[in-house]
Amino acid sequence: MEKLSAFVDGEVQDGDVQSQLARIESDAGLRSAWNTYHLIGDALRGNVSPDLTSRVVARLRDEPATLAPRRKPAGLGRWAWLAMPAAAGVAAVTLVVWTAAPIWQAEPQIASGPIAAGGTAAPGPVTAVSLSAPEPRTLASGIEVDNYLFAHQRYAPTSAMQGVVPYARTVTDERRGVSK
Amino acid sequence: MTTVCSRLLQPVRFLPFLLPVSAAIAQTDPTALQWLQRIYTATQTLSYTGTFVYHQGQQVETTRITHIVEPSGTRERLEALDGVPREIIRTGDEVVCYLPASMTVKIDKQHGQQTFPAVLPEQIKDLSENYSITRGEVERVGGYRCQTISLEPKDRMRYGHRLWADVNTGMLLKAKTFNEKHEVVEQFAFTQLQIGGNIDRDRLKPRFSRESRGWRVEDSGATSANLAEAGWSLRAKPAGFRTITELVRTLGNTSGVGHMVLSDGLAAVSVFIEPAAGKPAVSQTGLVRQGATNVYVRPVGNYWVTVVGETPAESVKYIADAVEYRK
Amino acid sequence: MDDRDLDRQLVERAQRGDKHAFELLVSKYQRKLARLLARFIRDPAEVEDVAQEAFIKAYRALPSFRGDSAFYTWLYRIGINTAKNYLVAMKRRAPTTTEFDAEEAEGFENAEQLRDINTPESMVMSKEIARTVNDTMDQLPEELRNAITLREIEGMSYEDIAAIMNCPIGTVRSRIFRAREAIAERLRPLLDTGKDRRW
Repeated sequence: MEKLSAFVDGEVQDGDVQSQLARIESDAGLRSAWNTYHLIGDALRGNVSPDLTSRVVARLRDEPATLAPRRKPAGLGRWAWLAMPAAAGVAAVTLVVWTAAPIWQAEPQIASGPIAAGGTAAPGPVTAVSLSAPEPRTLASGIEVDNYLFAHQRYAPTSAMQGVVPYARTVTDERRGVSK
Repeated sequence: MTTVCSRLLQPVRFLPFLLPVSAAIAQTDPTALQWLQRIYTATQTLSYTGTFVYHQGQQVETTRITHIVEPSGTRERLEALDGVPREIIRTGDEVVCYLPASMTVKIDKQHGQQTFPAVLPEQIKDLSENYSITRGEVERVGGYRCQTISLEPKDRMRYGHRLWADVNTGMLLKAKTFNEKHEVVEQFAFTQLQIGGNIDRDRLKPRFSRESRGWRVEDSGATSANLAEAGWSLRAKPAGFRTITELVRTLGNTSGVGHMVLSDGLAAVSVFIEPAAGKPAVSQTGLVRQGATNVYVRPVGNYWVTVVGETPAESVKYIADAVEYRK
Repeated sequence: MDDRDLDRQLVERAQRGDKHAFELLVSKYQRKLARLLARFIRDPAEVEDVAQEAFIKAYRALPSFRGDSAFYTWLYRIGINTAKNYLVAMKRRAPTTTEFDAEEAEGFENAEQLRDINTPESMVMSKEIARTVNDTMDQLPEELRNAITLREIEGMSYEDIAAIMNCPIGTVRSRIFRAREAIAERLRPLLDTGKDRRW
């Protein structure tokens, strides 16, 4: 049955299809599940109405079976985002595809970590210039910070310069345990 | 305190700073400050599509972006190609962020804020008060010749930056942020880019629709506010930082959160003020860092003050400590 | 393989004389087609009749389906023509815009319009089914609910869902299956009691 569920979504190995279809068509239980699964999908999309299938089936019984010549399936190439042709036009128009050489490899890699406490602790008026650098602590849950990051992102410097908000900082990635 | 709106009604002032495109392509040698202006101008005028990589600490993320500037406004779409799945659509002043893993969509629309980014060109000359700005070598980034510009902070309240801008269009192709030890805390660079030309509008189409079933919508409902009237102010600000906007918004489940943004023209710091009731127990005073972003949290009476910025820890703590309530 | 490929395989079987394959296609697209026809035809009972008619026409036209377009795109064109002819035969005015582009045909369906495609009689059952599906969804564990939502509402492939939910494709498959089975189990009593077996 789980196979049928995957099949309904078109998620099977190609070789299998015709025999799977044959099985579904001949098995009342599988046919019923096919109908129900599609009803569920339609219901989730707000589309529930009476089933027409049995009436159509009844009428199909009177129709002569069609026999059509076998056609070659059309190639369904997936268009690639990367394959945009360079267009003539406005000032500098260039399509550049760079190879995977990381541009920053020469730079030292910095792991997030506590910064060295510089200078002595300076209690005193807020206007004092030298303050000890506080030590960062581990965030118990990344989720709380996300809301603040998102609200702040549109003002961040790279946004300011590029007009783009990378928003790469928007969400802390708990899976990688990045927050430190 | 000037509101964002009144600043926007001064477009004429920007004109003296703008370099005509033809002059940009000619062989004159602009000053570093004029290069910065070019970069800002480019963000307002160029359309492009491409992929960039954002690097922070151990984390590397690739994002696909299409950005189109039209008379009707600017539209933009970002798709994270790895890392936490998300898609961001920006139309004018509205930012919508889809997070399909949690079926959440965050909406941040700020009425009255016409230009994006929020940092305005008139502050460019102010930058030289807080940063030493120099032009470096011309370097190749991918197939583009780029002018490098360095911004060295004059104090410990901000980070340093190096920028790589395309000599022909002024488009920012690469940028690095440095901490006080001259270590790189974050960087981004385009790995693939098309500037101008024929950009398929379909690339702006969001994959998701917030109207469809199942999405939990978090709308910030941000509106302009005068936080001083509510009793909140900053006793002091780091040199060069000015308040550029003040809002009241919803953050997570909390409504009525005060949000103040300070900027020195390049770096920005957000101050959030919210009632303590309902905050998760794990919140406590202290600093949290992720890459170039520092977050400092501190209680003031029965409120929490959270300061977020791409500035050093001292800077966010300084600002947080300067928040006071007086009524 | 994807949805379009699956349809094509079904069509090929039907073209070779296999009526059961066509039934599976009817079962799959009947409500989507009814929804489309409801834009032209006010009376839900007539919508049903015209939809039925459209499917029969499609079956007869199978030999001329070349697979250049998606099956549903081809089906909806037949549906629209059938609706137009019906309205003309009934001497009613056919709507002037008959060119619906393919995207609209695939477009998002408004959850609030059960009324357009249900007669007063069928409305009771349809509402009950919709309510059962919604209630079960609300009670599902979050990962099952999200998986089926990403599949059925956002139309994502298992591969994409796996990337988003950060789990293996097998897990996505299992979650969607378990979500479906949970809902199907709650629906079964409803569907079985449909005396006239219309459901």
